[in-house]
Amino acid sequence: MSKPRPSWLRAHENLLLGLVSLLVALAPSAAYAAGGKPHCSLPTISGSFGAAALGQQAGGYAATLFLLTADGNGNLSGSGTESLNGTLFFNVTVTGTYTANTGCLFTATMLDSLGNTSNFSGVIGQNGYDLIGLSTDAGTRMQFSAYRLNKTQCTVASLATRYEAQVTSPLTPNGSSTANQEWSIQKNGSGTDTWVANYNGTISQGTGTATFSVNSNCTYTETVTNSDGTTSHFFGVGSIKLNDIGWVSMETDSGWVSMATGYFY
Amino acid sequence: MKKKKTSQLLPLGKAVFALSAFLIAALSSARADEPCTLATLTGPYVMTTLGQEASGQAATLFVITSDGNGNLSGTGTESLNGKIFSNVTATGTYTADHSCQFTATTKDSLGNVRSVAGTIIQKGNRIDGISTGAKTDFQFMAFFQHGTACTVSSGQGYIVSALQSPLTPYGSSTAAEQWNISKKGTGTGNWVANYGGTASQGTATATFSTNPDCTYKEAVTRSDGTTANYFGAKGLNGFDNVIWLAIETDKGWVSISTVTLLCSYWPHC
Repeated sequence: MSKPRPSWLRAHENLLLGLVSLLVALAPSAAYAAGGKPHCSLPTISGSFGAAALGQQAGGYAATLFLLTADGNGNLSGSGTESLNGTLFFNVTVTGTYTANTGCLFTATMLDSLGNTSNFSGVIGQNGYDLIGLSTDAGTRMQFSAYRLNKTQCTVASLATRYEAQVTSPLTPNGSSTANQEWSIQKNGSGTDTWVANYNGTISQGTGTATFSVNSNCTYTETVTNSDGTTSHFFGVGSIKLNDIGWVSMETDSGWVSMATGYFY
Repeated sequence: MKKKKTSQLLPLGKAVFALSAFLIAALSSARADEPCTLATLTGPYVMTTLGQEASGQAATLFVITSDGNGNLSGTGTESLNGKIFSNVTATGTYTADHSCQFTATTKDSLGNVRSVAGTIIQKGNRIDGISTGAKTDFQFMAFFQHGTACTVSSGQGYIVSALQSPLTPYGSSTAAEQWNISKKGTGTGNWVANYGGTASQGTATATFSTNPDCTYKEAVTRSDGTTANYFGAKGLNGFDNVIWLAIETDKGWVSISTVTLLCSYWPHC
């Protein structure tokens, strides 16, 4: 037999239910208005992140994308893909350290398995779910962003929804490029898109079909066949679900330095 | 006595519950897959472009009103290869198809024509795209301006600014800043910047002058002795995290700032 509810609860249950529902409904906008006072420490940055950097290094243009784990105690480890002036390196591992001060500024130092050391600095946003920064090594000009994953176990169905993607490609075989894509990804790992691209001032547009292979750690690879006859390959990190960002990916074709950010439709 | 009080509270509870259900439904429908039409883009938008134009590196920021019927008009500021033009007006047209692809062409009072194409997302709250004009290669983004009546206290709180500057007197630059903006329109901040491969960091103070239409001017003094001036627009705080956009208005600079709240999303904050 269940224990009878106290009389005060019975008397006010509708009001309590209503107030709790109202709090749930208004919580995002209330937090929005608050703006969030900074109060960060090492544990603020913990968990799995999709960490992307794009810009220039000493050897030319570079894009790196890592699935990075922060242990909440100042240590980083992970693996990912790099494009260094258009030469691709897969399954690159990385270790490093990070700092986070009470004012929510961070620094990070990472050493990859190719022997490259990278230093970044910036701002911790969204209570550790969003890092915005830049490279601080002499001769480098890299933008850095890292988004904490919403979950760490994925299936091919995890990516299924509609996205819009902005693509920035400072180096392609046809010059620098920007592109905008609209994606519809199915639960079976297939996808279709409509795209418009600007290659060094020459406009093209078309459609594409894609197949996605999603790993259990929420990284994925993607093969795209475009209506203009070209094919493209990507490595990405999904399951972000923060600030309307769903995934980040980089092109893994030789000669390309390219990063894409996928926004929920 | 107790029973009477209960009966008075029940309708209130139901009313609050019903309001909550409506709000939850309204919020969750923001990402529904809705077909787009011209009317999807109706009202004021703050739009920026950043990248290459015929004149060189260029940045623009406009507050544009879309009439929901394919027409655009507005005013803004441009930096064309580092030369600043304020109070520029622009008119134009746009298309929006069923699958939420859009195109837009604007002509400004300086005679510059810009064509862009891309995707409408979040039921018209955000538009991303790229340039489609010959000899141009720039990125375009626009956000619906939810707030159209602002005071100096609008946007008060802790914010993050990400700056992209393909042209500065010191080479290209990126920067990340964190600001605490007071109700009085003053701000204090920390920043880290990379100018042409040389990193620097410091603190800064700022004063904001906010217009009733939610545009604003900002004057920044940094701890390294430099000063910077910006023109921007507030009131973007809809479902997206971006709240302001700004363009640097100092000669020799082509720079756009994207401003987000330091922490905005429950339960993260």
